[in-house]
Amino acid sequence: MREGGVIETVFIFGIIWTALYSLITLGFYLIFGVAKVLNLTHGMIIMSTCYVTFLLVTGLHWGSLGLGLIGGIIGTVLLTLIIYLGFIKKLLTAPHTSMLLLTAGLANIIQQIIILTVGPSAKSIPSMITGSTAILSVVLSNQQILSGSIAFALMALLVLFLQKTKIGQAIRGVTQDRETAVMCGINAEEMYVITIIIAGILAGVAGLLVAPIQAVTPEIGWEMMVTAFTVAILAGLGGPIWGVIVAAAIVAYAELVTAFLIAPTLKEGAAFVIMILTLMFRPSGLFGKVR
Amino acid sequence: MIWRKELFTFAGVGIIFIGLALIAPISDYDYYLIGVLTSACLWVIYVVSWDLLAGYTGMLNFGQLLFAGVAAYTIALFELNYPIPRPLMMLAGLIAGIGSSLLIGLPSLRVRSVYFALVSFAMLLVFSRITLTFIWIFGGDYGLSIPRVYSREHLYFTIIILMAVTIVTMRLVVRSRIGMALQCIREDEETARAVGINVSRYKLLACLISSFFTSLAGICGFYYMGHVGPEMFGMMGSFNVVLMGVIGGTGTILGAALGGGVLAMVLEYMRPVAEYRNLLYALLLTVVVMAAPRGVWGGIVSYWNQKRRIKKGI
Amino acid sequence: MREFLTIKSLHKYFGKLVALHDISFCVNPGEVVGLIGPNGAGKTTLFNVITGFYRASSGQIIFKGQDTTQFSPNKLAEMGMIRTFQIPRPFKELTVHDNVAVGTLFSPERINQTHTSTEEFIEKILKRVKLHPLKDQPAGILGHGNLKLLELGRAQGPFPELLLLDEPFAGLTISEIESVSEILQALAAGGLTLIIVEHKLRELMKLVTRVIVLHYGEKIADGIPKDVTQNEQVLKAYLGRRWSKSNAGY
Repeated sequence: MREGGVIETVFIFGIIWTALYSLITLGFYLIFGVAKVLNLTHGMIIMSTCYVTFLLVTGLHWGSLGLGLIGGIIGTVLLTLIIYLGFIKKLLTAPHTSMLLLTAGLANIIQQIIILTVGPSAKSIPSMITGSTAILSVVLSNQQILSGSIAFALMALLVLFLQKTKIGQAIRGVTQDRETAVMCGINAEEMYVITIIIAGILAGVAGLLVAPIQAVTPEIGWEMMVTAFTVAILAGLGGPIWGVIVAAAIVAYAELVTAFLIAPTLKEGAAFVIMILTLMFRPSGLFGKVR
Repeated sequence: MIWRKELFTFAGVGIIFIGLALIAPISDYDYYLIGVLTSACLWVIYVVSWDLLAGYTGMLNFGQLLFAGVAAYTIALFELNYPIPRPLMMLAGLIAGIGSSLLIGLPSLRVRSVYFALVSFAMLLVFSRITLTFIWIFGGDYGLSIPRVYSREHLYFTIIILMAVTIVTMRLVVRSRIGMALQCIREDEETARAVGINVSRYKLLACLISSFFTSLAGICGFYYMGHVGPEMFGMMGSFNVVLMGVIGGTGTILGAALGGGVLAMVLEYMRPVAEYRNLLYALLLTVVVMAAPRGVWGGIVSYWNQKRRIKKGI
Repeated sequence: MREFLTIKSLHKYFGKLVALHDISFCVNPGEVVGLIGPNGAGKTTLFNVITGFYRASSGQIIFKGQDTTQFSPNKLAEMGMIRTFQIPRPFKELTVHDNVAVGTLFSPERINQTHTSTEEFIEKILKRVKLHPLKDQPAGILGHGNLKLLELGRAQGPFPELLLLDEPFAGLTISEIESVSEILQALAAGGLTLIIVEHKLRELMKLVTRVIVLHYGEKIADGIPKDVTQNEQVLKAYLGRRWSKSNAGY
């Protein structure tokens, strides 16, 4: 649904996808910051929300769905909590490779369950609101605008939360230096759980917002995981939240440019190239802690 | 002194090798059986190569088959488009396969080995996309096929020889100075540096050795099947390698070989329930990782060592 | 006097935090230098920068005539500069013997000059740090005291010429400290140059010929132990202003 020049199109779509990519990455980013765990199930969790949305929507229609959506998000949060408390926690003391294997295994379990219950073909989800609008003579669906706006709003809320509230600051403390935070009286365990819940909410909303505007297939789980990882390391694990937004913008625009100028199916290639370049030349990311 | 310890391995490999070599003529080159065994041997090579990276160096590779796939596709392209002499083609395939390992290896040098895992994922995705995008070159979903070049029997023997060589070589590497360096890197990269180990060099070396054997296996596999397709870049194949390695035992070459062999057989016989297979594998992996982080063989090995220590009274 | 280790105007910043400011000193071969200072003074940071674990923000490090400011730890190890860690970091899955052996594998030339075989060298080290009886045990089961000894033993594997020791006495009992002290004295007598960070000043002063004092990232004293312990600035740094005046002449 594009008219207007390529530059405007890329620009506008870039904004929306920056917001969405940030949202997708933030849950993963926070969990890594607080618990130092690379949670490979993250992409799958978002994907499961997409599928749950699909199931709810094909049964009912968006309008009467407010409660169903909240239910979906609660489900996502529960899933995240189960994964953390039931599994990840048990292996915190094991070597890193075990944790990776565990989360990879869990992610595959989720993926396989979805394939077996819903089927491997692509699903599409009708939009929450219909119609389209033109911005800068670029035509967008209202759904896209809505998704982007909600994403931005949620991120702003998150930033405020982390900066201004006591809990938010406690979380930031644990991210920077767990031992010192504990010595200051912060209950690190509680902070973990709170962060997990936040990550779950972020993942849930991300899934919700992304589902109506792209094809939902069982592959998107890993695709989003790769995206989240790329944005996270570009931002620099251990850095400020707005770093994630900047990194998301870079990745989003790189992908869009690739999609437009080279081929749409190769847009992951752009993310991959960014990942490689970051790891080779600036492993601590743009804003991460440098030695 | 190193040879005495290795006697066990060499003997074991020798026996299995002879067994496999004899089965062929005995069964009158039964098509199905040879197929299953070939497949199992290839998996063993993949898993053992994977274990060098994951079990010994700590670089968890979720895309081991990528190297094989790149090698196979390279040869396929030459076979179909530029029929240069076969040895050159195979060399090209080998170089391509090894080169693709550098794509994962080089970026991971300066960061902790765990990032390797995600980079390997991403690689799989990218390559799979590339093969599916440029359909006119890579054949899309159908992949590339060639008419039969070498007989199945010849390839069978080549593959079992390759498997024996791989296991023996890996075992020697692991017991050598290289292996010790890799283990130290896995345990504690910084301290390894402090003791004089050039971590980057050894990580690269591990990538090269691992991809060398995997590429060779990929090439053999390609000629055996006469076909290569995008499933080489799919998540499932490489995930199976991980599974076999983990169950068999990371950090023990023999364990990996065992895991590969046994699970490969199981894989074949589970074809009827193919849909549930993947779910079962994922469940299996999760359970094993949580219950026995060192895998079945690794668990046995450490149990053994512990008993020895208790006997000595420590 | 051959130039062995020279530090010139070394600075290290972490963002706006000044960890090291304008550090300069020389170490001559065979010296045993103590590096002291209150907590947070930057001693471990200095070690990390010298041995390549951190990158210096500015300044130069010259070791055996070469500018090693940008060198990685393993390259320095090859040249003969080894450090130990305050909290021991053994390779838990390797045996005690292998922990020491690791060091010998990657810088072998110097060993072969003075020993008939690497194995002989390893055995010698193990005996020297009194871990020979435990040589086939996995390092993971060792207690703290033995781990510190292992740390020392492993550090000798690469046949170092300069050894930087980060709190070798930390967490040890008095008799254990004596053991370690003896070993260090033997090493120094054998020609090894040592730089030791320590908090246990009484024991340290028995070993060292020279002391450098750091405070808030700056060098505030550099001389023989007797002078440094009477230095007013040093006393002020450790004990506070009130104490220094009444206790000068320790």
